Amino acid sequence: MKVESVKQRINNQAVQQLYQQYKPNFTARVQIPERAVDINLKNEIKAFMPPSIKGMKKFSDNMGEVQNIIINALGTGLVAPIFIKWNPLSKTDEDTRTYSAWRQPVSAVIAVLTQVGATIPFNRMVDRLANNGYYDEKYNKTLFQDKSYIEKITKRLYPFASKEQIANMVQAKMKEQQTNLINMIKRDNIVMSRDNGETFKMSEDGYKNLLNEVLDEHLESANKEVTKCLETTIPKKTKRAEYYRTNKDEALKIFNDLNKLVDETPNPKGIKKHVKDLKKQYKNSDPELQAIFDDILDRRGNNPEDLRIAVKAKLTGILRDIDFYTTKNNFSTKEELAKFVKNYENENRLAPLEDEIKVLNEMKKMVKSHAPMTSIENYIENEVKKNPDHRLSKFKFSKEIAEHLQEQIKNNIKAHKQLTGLRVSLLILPLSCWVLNWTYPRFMDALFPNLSNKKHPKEIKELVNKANHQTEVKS
Amino acid sequence: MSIISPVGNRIKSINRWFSRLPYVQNEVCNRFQDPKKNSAWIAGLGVTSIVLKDGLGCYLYVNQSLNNKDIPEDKRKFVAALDLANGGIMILFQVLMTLTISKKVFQEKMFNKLFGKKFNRQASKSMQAIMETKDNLQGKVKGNQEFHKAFEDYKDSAIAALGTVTTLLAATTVGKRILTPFIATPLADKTKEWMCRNDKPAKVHKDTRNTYDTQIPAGEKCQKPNEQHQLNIVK
Repeated sequence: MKVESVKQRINNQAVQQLYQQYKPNFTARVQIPERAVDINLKNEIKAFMPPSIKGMKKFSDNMGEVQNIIINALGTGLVAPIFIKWNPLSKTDEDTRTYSAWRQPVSAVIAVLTQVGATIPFNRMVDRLANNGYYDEKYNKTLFQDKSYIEKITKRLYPFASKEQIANMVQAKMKEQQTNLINMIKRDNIVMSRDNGETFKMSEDGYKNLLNEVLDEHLESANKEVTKCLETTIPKKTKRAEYYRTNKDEALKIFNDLNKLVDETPNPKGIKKHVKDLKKQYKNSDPELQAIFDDILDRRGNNPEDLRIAVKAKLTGILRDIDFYTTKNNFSTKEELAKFVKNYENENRLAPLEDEIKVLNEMKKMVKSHAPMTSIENYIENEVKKNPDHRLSKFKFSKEIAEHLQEQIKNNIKAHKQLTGLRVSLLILPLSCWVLNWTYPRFMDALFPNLSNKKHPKEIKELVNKANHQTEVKS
Repeated sequence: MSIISPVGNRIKSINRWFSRLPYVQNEVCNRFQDPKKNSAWIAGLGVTSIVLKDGLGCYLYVNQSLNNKDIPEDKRKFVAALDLANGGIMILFQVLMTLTISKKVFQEKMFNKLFGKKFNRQASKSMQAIMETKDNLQGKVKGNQEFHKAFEDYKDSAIAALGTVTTLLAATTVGKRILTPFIATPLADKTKEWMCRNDKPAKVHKDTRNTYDTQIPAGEKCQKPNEQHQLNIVK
């Protein structure tokens, strides 16, 4: 009896915990940060991407078994029939080939209906289970639940709340989860929930890997930039500056005229044509001039006005460089210029990068020696204080860890979904085959009776009648 | 409810058991962490799924076609033979196409040709200049590492998507649906012969005799009945 009452109490507590977890605050006023202060370039950049790239990104984010089935079905339904029916190598009669060809689109439609139909509910199940903590650490989304999941739970808890209230509560909950996760990271204590209300701490190894991965990502990017600067930027800048130094008048004339044209033209698209003409006109000039023209031609915008802005920015840069390498600084020899460019880049580009790499390596050492997050963040803060233009001045370690954890779990769930989809569609295949075998002859009978045998008895009967009639006449 | 719940729980626990498999956690999940680097592997996983289904489907279709009484008997073996020949060759071609198209060198060339100009230095600089003209973004884009990270993220996604789409299209459309029928259809004739090697001479059912003729319209044919046909009917 006592055991039962304790069990009951525990169950009630779990329900209460869950309730508290999702309990939204009706009076909550969502503090939307001012855009000018807190800009998320990851979101902002989307509006400026070409539509084809946005489409690729969308496809990449949603890649999975459903997409595989659809691509496969497109080939089956649209391409296969053509190559079966009009196959010059086949000796089988055309009727039979047409009959067989029609099976492909029927099969494609059935495959999509049965396999996608079965895979989607499983994908939703995986999402739901990941959000409510049914899975282990690698797939656990309880610390940053999906918007749709929070919305569903909130609607269930507050069936009479208005749409606006629900939206406010959802946003507040998401913000709260985000803040909680960052606070957990600051305390080196990421705690996830299970679907039964229990909680568990993220494994030590998983947490350390997370920190190292964030740092490694930054290190890799900084090292790449150093290599790029040494191997590409410095030689390229030297070459270009040398062209400006030796062809100052020609360069000034061409690019001042072009700049004027960009300002005045009502048709920014025509600028590229003009640059192409210039390229032809100066084809015997310095090859570096041709490279500058190519750079201008590579400038792009999603609309004519954006293109004007992009080309204008390039021309402004070119005119600034001409001024910088010929008027502000004077060089009598190529070697003198090359030395200047190298020193300039070392000071302005390589030194900050090397400083960043030094700080990141130091942080890695701190992670290895199990230093708490607060001391790592204090270390960055002190380094940035020494130099406000430090490349890590905007680096928020705990925030980046939170983002990385979300990304990691999102990708793990994607992998799990793909494998789940594979198993489900394999299991559903016998049903797809059965449906196809049941549907296909009936489909052919209904739409192409000449190719199947259903209408033949009628035709035969007519012929028999006709033949009998002829026989009767003959006899 | 009482039946659905235990079944649902069983499905959930099987699903969780799969998610805990060391291969899934250590290999598959790790591959999905960097879709750009592992685009060939991920595309290969998609093709593997299709190939497995093709293998199982081939077995099922051949069996069912052979026993499907609704398909005319004289066409049944051809349909089954086409399934069998198709199954084997399409699996082979899909694997070959995947191995070819997903090659890094091939993918890089294709990406540079299709999207190279959208992600080069000038494209990045153009976007920075355009974004800087917006009031809320002024002074916040140029030289910001966040911008480069976001820009690279789009590039990585495009590389991953292109890798998957081209591999899947090459395998499932070119390999499976264009090349395979060219070989499988004539091979089906041979396979049918092989399948019928021990059969008594097959008699074409009079009801399913092919009537399609590209030379003489059906209407004209009816007006000039074939003598042989008449004889068969009279008999």
